[in-house]
Amino acid sequence: MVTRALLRLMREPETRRTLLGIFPSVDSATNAVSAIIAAGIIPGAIEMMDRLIIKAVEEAFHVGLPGDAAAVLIIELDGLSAGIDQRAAAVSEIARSAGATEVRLARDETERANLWKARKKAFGAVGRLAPNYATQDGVVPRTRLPEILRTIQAVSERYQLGIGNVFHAGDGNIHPIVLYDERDPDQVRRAIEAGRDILKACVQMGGSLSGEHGIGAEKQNEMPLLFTPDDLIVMAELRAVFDPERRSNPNKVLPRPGACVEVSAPRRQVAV
Amino acid sequence: MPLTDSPDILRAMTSLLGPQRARMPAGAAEAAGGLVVVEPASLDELSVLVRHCEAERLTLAPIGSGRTVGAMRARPAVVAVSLNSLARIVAYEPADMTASVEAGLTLGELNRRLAAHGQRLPLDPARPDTVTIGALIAGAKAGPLRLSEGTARDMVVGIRFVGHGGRAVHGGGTVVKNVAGYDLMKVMTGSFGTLGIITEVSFKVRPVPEGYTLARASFSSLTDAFAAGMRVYDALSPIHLEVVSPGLGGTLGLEGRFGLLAAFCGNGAEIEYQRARAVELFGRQSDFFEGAEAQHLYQQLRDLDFESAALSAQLTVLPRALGQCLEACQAEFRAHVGCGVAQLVLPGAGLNGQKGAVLARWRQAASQGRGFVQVIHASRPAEPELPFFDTPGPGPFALMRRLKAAFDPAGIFNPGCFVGGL
Repeated sequence: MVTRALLRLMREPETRRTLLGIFPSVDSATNAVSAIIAAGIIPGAIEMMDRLIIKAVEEAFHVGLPGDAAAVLIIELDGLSAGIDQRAAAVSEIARSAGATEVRLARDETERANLWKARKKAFGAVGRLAPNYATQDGVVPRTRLPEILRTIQAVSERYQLGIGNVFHAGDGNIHPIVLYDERDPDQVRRAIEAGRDILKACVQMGGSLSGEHGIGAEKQNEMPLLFTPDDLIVMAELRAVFDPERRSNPNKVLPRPGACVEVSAPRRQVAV
Repeated sequence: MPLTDSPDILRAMTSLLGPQRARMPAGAAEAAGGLVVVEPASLDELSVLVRHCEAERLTLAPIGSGRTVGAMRARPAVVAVSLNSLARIVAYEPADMTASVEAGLTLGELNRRLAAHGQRLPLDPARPDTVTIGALIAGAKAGPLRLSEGTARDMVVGIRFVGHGGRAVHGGGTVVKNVAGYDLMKVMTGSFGTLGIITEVSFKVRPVPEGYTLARASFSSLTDAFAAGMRVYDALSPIHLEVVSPGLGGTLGLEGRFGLLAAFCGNGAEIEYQRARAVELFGRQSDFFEGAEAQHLYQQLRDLDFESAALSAQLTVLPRALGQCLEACQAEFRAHVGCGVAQLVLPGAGLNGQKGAVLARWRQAASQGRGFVQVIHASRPAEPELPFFDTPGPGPFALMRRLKAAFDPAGIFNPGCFVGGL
């Protein structure tokens, strides 16, 4: 049990600029992400939402997102007041070159808060789209974002389930939201398989099963996709150093040899 | 009966991996690391070597250029492992800002390759052309940029090593965000070769800043220099910020005074603004350097030599306590203001028999700043009561012992080179 932590704190940045980029396609939005980073600009956040999510958020909260956009990026820069407008202008220019039909700059704290409200409440708005949803937390290298989003689209069609995307694009950390109805066992089965297919694709593209939420019980049997038996043995040895009697939250993270963990329903998850 | 005779060991290693792979040590640094040097050309060969050494109970010390291990080992290990033949960049995708690198490559060479794409690995220990990636991570080396960019543990996203049983193991991956599995990267960072031999590391890399400017001011007292340093730290975002004592200022133009060096980066407007503010904050005449001049001065600061002194160590304390702790240490120093970290050095050869007392004084000062001291270098003859690390508490030490036993059951990986003599 962690009882105490000594943390290194960061100073609040002197100022921020928050931009909303509106894109006619998911590809143009993900290309903008790569181009911003390739230009040596590292924003504090680059968040992406696709058409399904934009529509749900707009219907729920009326924050002024364009209903006909295929994707939006929320890009936040932070740092010194001196020079930040130059960086914001550069980001805006790069986004337009990548195909953005419009780039809006939040003019004040109210507009900025409104943009973040759209992002932070996106998961809440998903309730309007389906009775249930299951989110994955896969990661791909940033340059593979266009490819993984096309894969997610294909998975959505294959399993006949809606999948929305709202995620941390700057890190390549996706959060596909698989929509389903838990009253229909076949939809439950398809939602689980859709999630697994997406995670497998992430790993095949050189990514990971989880960017921030962990492996837990749901993904422990997918761990061999990422790690060799020797890797997993060493992790088990490491675990035994700290917990030789296996009392501390056992049967998580590492696959259970011989035991078949059946996940009966996708875990309901909240991603932020 | 374990082999202890160099010619016998050389013969054994030659018959194991072939004559091109084993040799006698070249120079004092390598000789302090191992009786013979083995240079595997593949992971398979390294695995064979580890299995053989476990079976025969031969100790193994991974060496880069030999300095770190050479300084730490009281006696050489039987086999020094050089990864000079494992020195490729395995993958580098500039747009992903990640690179996977074999452990034998030097940091200097890696950064030359990254610079072609306007990027760098912002870890800056002294003389990067002599620091291999393996030594960088196993020794958790850092430099002035630690203030803004962090240290090795912040940059490593994946690691490969050969552990006990000759097993090739990897943790993490090549993406910048990843919580799958236990964090073997942090286990291996700063493990000094005592848990296995690091063979490959995946890093986050960063853009080289658009502009860089370095400000220098000098002060008659340590207190004044630190006060000015803290004013800069509180008001601005320097990418590095050092106070250097008069005795180390020869290459920095300090002329016998305490120096404050503060560097700023960013676009034109950001640099201009910070420069103007720095002039106010220094409260006295200061010099500003740009372009090649600034780079030269930065390199002098980065490359200050703490590895050939009679006694040198790194002090880590609470950032606000650093100035006061340094007063108590009575040593020449380079202090990373805002990080709570400083390198201490006592030059000269007149210290024999007194190094233990000096180190005890430094450790006393560190404990008052709620921190610790780690020796960097102690000239021979090493005094037996000169532990490189602070004595750990019983709880943490029990955990470290179990970790060492789990990762190195045969006790062959660079024994004696970690906390508590592990």
